[in-house]
Amino acid sequence: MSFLLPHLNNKKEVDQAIKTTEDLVLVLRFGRDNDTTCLQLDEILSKAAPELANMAVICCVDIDSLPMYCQYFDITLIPATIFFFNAQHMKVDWGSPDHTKFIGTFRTKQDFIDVVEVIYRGAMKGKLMVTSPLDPKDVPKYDLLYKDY
Amino acid sequence: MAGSTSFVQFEHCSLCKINHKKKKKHIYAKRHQEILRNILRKFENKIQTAKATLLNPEIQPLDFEMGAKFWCYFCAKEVEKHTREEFCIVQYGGLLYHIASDDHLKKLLQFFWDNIVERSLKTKYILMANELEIFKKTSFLAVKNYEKSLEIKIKQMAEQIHSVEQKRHQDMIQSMQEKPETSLTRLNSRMLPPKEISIRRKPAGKKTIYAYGEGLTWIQNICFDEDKGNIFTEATPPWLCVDEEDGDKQTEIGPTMQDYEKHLEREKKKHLPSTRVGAKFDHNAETSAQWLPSFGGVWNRGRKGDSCIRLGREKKKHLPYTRVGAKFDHNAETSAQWLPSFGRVYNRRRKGDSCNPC
Repeated sequence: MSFLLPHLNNKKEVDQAIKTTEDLVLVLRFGRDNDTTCLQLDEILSKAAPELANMAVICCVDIDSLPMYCQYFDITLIPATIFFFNAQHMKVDWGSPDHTKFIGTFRTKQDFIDVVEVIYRGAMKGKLMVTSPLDPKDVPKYDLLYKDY
Repeated sequence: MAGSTSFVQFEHCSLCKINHKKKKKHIYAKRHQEILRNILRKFENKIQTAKATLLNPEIQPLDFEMGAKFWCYFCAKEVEKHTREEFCIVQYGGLLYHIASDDHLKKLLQFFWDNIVERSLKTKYILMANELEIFKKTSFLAVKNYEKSLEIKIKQMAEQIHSVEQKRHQDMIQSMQEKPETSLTRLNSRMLPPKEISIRRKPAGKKTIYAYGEGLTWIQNICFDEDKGNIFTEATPPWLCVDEEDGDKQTEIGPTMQDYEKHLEREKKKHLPSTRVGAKFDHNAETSAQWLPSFGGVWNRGRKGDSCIRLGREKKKHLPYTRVGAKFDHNAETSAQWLPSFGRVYNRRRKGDSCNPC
């Protein structure tokens, strides 16, 4: 279903999207179009996109073409969904080890809509970090092993 | 004729906290005596501890027992326990001043009279004038001493801060002087052992080296550039980094000409009514080959009748608020005598007609 969503193919396009999206939540899905979990997530995103048109812009980014962003956001598991508001990265407390991005797929379309709404409202109030409205059961579980450098 | 009935008024005993009509006999009650004994013993202890500090008053810092009070059983009121000076608190000052007052003595004698307590015990619960004088003098000296020690302490702290500041300043100068040397050593790096060269501050950060999640694909980030850092090191995000290709463009500071023109256009449009047709249409938006001008909501969704109703409502919204009958509530109930308003002119004429029926 990712063909229904706009794709950002190089760094310039991603930069442009981040910089020019005004007063809307920018949702970037980092992943691969043929990955199973990415396909599941893309279906949810493509269904939610028209309903969230007044609140969010949803784009897909292929991780293989953007190593710079992958390094910056420390993307090791795909799909990873990252949220921005007015060129500002939005953090969400998912109750998982990483609050900079959402890893995995949302359980339902409504879950994703709720998350975007919470981020939008939080951002409008000037919050850089919001608390996830999702039930912790619906957030995919994963383990990360960090190393200091 | 009614016989004289003795009407005995109830009295309240503040010690036993009960109402009774035994008059003076009440004080001989077992319970009352016990309470009285307890009170006297408790109060005596309190006064003894306070009197112990007469010659050697204790000085406390300002935040010591803020607003502490004690209950004087004889005067039946709350009194400040300590006295407050400018920079300190004199412990039990308030209590000692109170028990030395004439008012307290008067109330104490009254209490003793009411409860039939031996008058010889009086001295235990009061402070003589000469004792108070002694307390005044000793407390004055103690306060002075305390203030002096406080001043010394502040000076010591100031010295410490000053020395730390000086040390920091020296370190900074030293590091400034050392900088050119290190650049020289880098030039001669072949001559020096590698350990000395690699003294470089690394950004404290972290990166994921392994991750696992059910149904999630793991990607290994092979080309990791430590200098660039990542989100955990608070590095500059890529969208704010200057691109190598359009580096020249980025050197311009402030808004570009395009931004300024956009702003001017927006300012111009501010004067136009915001409800005009097609106000929100973005003229710069790219359109597909299948694009056609919007026909409103007629055929988009729902039956045609619905959209007619909605359009009618929208039209009403745009009508001026000052139009005739705009404020009239169509749903309000009216009385039987209600008539539609004719305005002022007709009203007056009709009134005149009724006055002169000719």
